[in-house]
Amino acid sequence: MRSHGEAPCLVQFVQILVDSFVVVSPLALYPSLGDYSVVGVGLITLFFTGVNSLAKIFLDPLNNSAIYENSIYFDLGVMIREANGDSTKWRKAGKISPFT
Amino acid sequence: MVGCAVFIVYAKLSTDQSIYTLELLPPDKDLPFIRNLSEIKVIWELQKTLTTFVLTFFVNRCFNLWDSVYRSAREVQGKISGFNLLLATNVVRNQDGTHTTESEQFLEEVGQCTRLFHILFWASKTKRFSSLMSDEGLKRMESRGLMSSNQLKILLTMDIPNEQLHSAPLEWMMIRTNQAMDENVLLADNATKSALLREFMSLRNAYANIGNLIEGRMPLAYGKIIVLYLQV
Repeated sequence: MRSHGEAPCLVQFVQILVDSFVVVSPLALYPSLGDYSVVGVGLITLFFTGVNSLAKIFLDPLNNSAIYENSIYFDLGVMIREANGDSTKWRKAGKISPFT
Repeated sequence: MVGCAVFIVYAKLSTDQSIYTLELLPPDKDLPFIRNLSEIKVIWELQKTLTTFVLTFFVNRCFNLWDSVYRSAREVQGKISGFNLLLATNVVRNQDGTHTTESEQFLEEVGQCTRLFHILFWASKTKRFSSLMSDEGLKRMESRGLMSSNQLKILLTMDIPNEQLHSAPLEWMMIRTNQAMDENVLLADNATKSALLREFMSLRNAYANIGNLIEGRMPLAYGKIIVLYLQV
């Protein structure tokens, strides 16, 4: 379980890596794509920053950091209601035994 | 993309091209400006490989964390359910196969403790439900029937941090179970007791695991700054 916290600088490192990659991409793509490098840069920005954002959302499963609105956190209200239902389910299911 | 468009305008001005026409072909590679950019591309290609590899690794690690927390959360639910199942199937019954009044009362009381434990546990882990741990939150839960007035009184006077309030109903679950065994409401043989204790301790391990996973993850401070920067 410790392995999840073994690289405290990884988030910052990946962010810097992705940002610099995206920022440099117009310069790198222009010689081969010309005016169409706008489209190429758009796609690169969408996918690379999107995957990085997805990773950060996964890194905050309970949405305590609230980095993004509407991110994929657990709906704990549902989990609590499920457990509430389970707390009475077995009592009700076994209320009458057929083996008398 | 806006930055890229601005750069294209700059590149066209630097290479004496019209900024009002859309060029279907790439620029002339012999121009000094374009030749310099081609050298940047070599570095960019190296960075592309590194970025793709590191990002893939990073997403994988983050998803593993998400998955571990999700599985642990489900395990907590499962252990609570398993504990209640063991109790419901081992309580004393009447001759006609129905629960005795004492059995019904016992199952209801332990069920209520499990509900209280589960809610207070998540309140201690999430900002969204953290208000439930405050005095006002506890009183509100009592007014909605989630705990008795006696339980509220005990929780309010307890000498432990609010983040650990869930420990009390967890212990009440087992204390009430032991009491039921002494009162012959629940089968008190060693096998039943052993199975209940095992389930009880598994529950404790499952919920403690969630805290360990969340506290051991990577910090998000830099990520927040970047999001703020992008939004501005």
